[in-house]
Amino acid sequence: MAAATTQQQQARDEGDRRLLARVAGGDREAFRELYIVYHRRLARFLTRLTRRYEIAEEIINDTLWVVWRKAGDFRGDSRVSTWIMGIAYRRALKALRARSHALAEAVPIENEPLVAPDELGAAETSEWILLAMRHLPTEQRLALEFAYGYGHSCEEIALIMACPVNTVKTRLFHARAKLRDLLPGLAGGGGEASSGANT
Amino acid sequence: MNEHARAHDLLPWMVNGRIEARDAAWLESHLDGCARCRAELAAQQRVRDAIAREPTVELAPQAAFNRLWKRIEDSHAIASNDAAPVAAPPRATRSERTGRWLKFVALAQAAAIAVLCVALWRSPPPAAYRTVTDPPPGTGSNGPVVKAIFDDQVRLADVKEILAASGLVVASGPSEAGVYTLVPRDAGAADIPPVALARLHADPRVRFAEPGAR
Ligand SMILES: [Zn+2]
Repeated sequence: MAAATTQQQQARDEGDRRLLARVAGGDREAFRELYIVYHRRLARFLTRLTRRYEIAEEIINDTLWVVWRKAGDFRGDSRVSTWIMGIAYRRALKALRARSHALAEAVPIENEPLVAPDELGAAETSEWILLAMRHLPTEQRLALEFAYGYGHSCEEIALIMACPVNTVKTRLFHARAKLRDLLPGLAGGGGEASSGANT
Repeated sequence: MNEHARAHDLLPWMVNGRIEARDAAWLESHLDGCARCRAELAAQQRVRDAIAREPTVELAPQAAFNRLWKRIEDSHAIASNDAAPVAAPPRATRSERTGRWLKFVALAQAAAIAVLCVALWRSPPPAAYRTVTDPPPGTGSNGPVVKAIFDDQVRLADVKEILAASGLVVASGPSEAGVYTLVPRDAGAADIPPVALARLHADPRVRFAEPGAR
């Protein structure tokens, strides 16, 4: 899936804003439209995060409930998607904390690589990457989801996660380092890339 | 900050298309001469591809929306009852219990689907949720069909344009999972013209299109 271009994202945001303005006026049909769009978008990272669809849906509904009530307060200083994602992010953290069991706890890191995917196909590589991501602390993992799953900019992710831009960079830095440790073949070409780096 | 470290920090934004033009120009020239950063770029592209892939879980947004809407209506009802706080709950009736049961069925089903995580196509959802997915009664039920999913951002006008180009019309849908059932515009066609499928496959706004059964 190609990342949406900036133009596409702007067009999408304009559509979202029009819907949100109608939602603020209590328009059920507009709310339903917005809901369907965001259900799909949010379900992607939430089912991965919680690994349980019913919990993901609970978070989605909590999020959209806030959207319904606060639509009139949206000041338009960010994209609608950034605003909604920020609500979902806080709801997700809260839901995960409320369920103290191992639901979204990072799997403890062993320093053993998970696999040496020398010749894995693209689909298998993806499976391993998603598996390895479960070893990351939630914040690091979500920073990756927001950047790569949704194409948010560094500044937007800082807004969503309510943290400084540098924290986003640090989270991504650690996430990437950990993935590299877990999946030494990630860069492809077997040992070629790393030996090239020593020269 | 040395050059590699700067490049390393910029790579995610090149990978997700959100890099500033000035940074992009600098990074590209760095990549030209640096195998290590090129390898890191390839690695990050793989991570992006893994994350951006759609899960194979089938979703039921309409049913989920109905549950949320019920909650909203309930909260409005409570708010408007504030003036009469002792009002008894109007009815704890059979239909309400049935509602709860259906909700349970839907949740259990959703959970099972998420766990199995394999079926893109599954048998139709329970009758209570079939209103939008039911093919219109009376349409010939044995003719050829195409099952298609359009991109999230596609608008009605796009769908019309895509269908006009491929000579198909909507027989039913979208289902809750966003699946359209398409049939040839020429009602007598014995099969889906290969060119129609090819058109769908070539259109970036179409995420999935395959011949299927009703
Ligand atoms: Zn470099």
